[in-house]
Amino acid sequence: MERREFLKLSGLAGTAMVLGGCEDYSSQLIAYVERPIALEPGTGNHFATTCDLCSAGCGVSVRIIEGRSVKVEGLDGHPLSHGGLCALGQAGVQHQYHPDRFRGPDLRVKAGEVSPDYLKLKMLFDDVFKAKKRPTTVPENFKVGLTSFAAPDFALADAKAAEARKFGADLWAQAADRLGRVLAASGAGTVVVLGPQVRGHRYQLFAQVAKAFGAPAPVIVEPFGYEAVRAANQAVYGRPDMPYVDLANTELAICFGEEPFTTGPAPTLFNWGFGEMRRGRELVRGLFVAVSTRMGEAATVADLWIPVRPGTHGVIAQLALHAMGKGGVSVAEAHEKTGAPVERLEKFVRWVAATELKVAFGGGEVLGHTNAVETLSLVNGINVAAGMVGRKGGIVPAAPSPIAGMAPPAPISYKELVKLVDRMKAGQVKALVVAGVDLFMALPGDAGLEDALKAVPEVVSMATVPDDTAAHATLVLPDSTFLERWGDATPSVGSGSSVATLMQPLVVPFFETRSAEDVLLTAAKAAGKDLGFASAEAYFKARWAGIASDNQVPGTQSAWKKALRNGGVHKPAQGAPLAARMPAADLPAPRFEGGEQDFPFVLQPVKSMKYREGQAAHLPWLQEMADPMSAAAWGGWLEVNPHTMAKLGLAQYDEVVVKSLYGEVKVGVVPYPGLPEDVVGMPINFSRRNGTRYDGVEGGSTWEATMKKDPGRGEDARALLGAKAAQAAGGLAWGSVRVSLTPTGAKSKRLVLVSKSIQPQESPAVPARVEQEFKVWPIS
Amino acid sequence: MNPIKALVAIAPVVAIGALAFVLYNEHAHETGWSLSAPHAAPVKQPILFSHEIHVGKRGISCTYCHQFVDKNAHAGIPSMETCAGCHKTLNVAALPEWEQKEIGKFMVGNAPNMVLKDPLNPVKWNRVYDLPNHAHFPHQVHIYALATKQGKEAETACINCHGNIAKQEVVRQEIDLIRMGTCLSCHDKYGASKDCWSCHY
Repeated sequence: MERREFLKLSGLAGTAMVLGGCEDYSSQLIAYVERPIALEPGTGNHFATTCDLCSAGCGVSVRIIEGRSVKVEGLDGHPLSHGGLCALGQAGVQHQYHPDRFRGPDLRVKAGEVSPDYLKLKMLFDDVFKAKKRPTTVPENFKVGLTSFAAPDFALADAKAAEARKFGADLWAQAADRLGRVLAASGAGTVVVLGPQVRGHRYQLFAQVAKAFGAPAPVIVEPFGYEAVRAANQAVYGRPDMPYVDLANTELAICFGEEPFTTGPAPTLFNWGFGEMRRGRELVRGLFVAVSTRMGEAATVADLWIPVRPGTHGVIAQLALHAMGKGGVSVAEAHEKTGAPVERLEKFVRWVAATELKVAFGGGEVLGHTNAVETLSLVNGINVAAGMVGRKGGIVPAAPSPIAGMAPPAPISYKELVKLVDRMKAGQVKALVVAGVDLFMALPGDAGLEDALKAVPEVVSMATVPDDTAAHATLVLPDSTFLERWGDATPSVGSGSSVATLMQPLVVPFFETRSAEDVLLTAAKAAGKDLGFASAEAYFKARWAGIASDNQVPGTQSAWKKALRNGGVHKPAQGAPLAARMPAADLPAPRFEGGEQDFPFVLQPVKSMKYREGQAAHLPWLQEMADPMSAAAWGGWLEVNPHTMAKLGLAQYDEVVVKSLYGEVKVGVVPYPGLPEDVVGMPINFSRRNGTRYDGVEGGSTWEATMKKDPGRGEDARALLGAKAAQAAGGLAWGSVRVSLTPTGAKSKRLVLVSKSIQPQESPAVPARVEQEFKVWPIS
Repeated sequence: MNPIKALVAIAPVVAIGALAFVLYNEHAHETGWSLSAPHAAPVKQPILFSHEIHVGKRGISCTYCHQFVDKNAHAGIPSMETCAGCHKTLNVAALPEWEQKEIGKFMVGNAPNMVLKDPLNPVKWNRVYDLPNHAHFPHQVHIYALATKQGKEAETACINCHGNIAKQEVVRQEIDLIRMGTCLSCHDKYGASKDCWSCHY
């Protein structure tokens, strides 16, 4: 065949294929019953609200098209997000449209067993999904925030959907009644546990309800939290809260162990600050130094990475103090204790001595060590020694919220959480109400939480998607997502501004879920404790009545609307001055559990930006996303230094049993040159035993299967940690465990690598579904 | 090339193409437009809505019902409340029997308090005009160029593509709109861009 003929045939074949492949489209135009004001077909509107997927409280702008949320972005000018947004926030729409979301309340007869009524509700909604592929319209105008939108929620558009909604509403009436009875019966024996992202008046309402029923004030649980940071801040700055680290105006930033741009307390804020530090000023380009054991994302963008042995970060802080003439240790001593290259240490000393504006901060892997408080106190000491506390380009005190009394108390420590678990085991807790956190994500495998939950007569879960805590609940009251409900927040970290962000419902709840505020108000009223608010909207409006937005008069409709439009209120401000005490110069050596002989490797648990503290594990975008450092996707992996792999005869994808004093897991090996030879890294909180179809290690089981207790799921680095490993500040010393590696001789069936240099077909692990649906990175 | 070999090579391609063409036209026939029949037949609607009565006799402006035509890519169809706005006060008894029957399909009660018959099930109109996905026709741009820019009312532009709607009892494609030649001749006439990406984006 000649070229010309080949081209002719190809053209003809291509045309035929294009014609044949033309997709089906709707042949019907379905009218709105009542067109909402400002809605134009196919045109998006942006509305401001607040992301509540972590405790940072970033203002976000959500694009709504015909009542559907389609994109979450950072809110321009917001002091936390500055128009940017992290991967978790971007995946917020998946949180809303998650296929395994609870459809409505589940009034269980026995803990952990799904009620027939809930199954019926789920079936009704499933029928609606099958019947309708495209959105249609709504029968009535939902007055939602500023939008006045009638969301074209297809689930309302026909008789089947109306039946599902009505059945769900009936269940809610029963559920609120039951919650009221549980609270009334349990009284002082009720414990309310909230997640760290509960940063506003939601906490106050929970506290009000708890008080009305004679229960103690709610507690906030922060998985793998910042106890050591708060303790160090208290010791040096005189206050435990997290100040604003003014990266934008500094000349030298020294980061100890933290991954500020991916998993820290406010990744978007730190990313903005970093950008400003590097490129925001004429003639000044700030320097960034990362001090860490594992080469993480911060080390890759750093001008200087100082690799240190586990738990020796504080020695580098002492070196910085030495460079400023405040005692500390010399380069030679630092090299000996940390193993860091001498030339890098010398360069570091030169930079510290030469720069006037410098700021040091820490967290991340430092938080996992037994000497975390002492290390972070020394880090804070650098700021004190440099005179950077309260100074531009240094540590700026966090400004209080413009609404007095809005901020919740600090989260309880890990030690206090363990005490609570012990109380549950002892039968001292009559009812446990959990909202916004999966307790299993906050505790090591041997903490005995499962037994503790079984000892509590009533466990009420307000989870949005199934998790391990909800799997042990007697009553599930699913909360609406941040796109569907009212709320507010004051950020957990300083931002150089006084901030109160506002959350407004932008879309109609996708299923029959209710905001926790509405549930609490209804339940309290049903139990004869009317709190005086007709709805969550009325509650938040009342709380924001004193807010003046710019020139608006407080309490007026225009002030409220302006606050909604701007995503809350904020203005540049600083808090009361911080103390500046030099910390003790001592740095205890880190302790590790397990003998070196039996357990030759230190386990470095990794907070991956894919999973954060576990709140992102159910989102497929994040499960699918390759970890920026290891290139692993879907589930977990073990990072091992290539030299160690050679010594052990391991190859990529080989399966090993990782064993500690407390447990063992099987996992696939990834070569990772950014770790010392005697340290291995593994992500935490990437899976649940009873999660959604995406949290599982195999990433493919259905929700129904998980409810049947699929035994193949839930292997996580948490299983290797010990419950007793607490720090001085009461935090969990999650980086203090030694492990051994034993090859199984097989290739991992679960490890998925996404990389140009790693060919996926080499792996027997790539699930067929991933190949088909998610296009693994080019195979070449 | 050997003619037999060429035939063997071409035959399956032609067969697939022909099948695709038949299926495509079958589908197109259902939806009111066709590659082979540009002047499509009137499309049957769930309610016999007469543009002749509403536009021709009553003189209702196009933009009263198709509210987005001058500001959005989509002209939009009226909400049920827009229909009800007029019809709830209409003395139905004075209308011909067929009109009463058609109005009764979506309104119930007596004037002036008629209400929507079934708010949960809005009318599902059958599409008359549609373009393939690879071509775009933003209404607002055309309304601006053909009317607003010249100081005319928006509805004066509609006739260019939709024909004289006031004379159509049941709407049909009066003009051979789906062919690219129709678009190009008009673009040529009014000096509009003829770059490919003007419409194919």
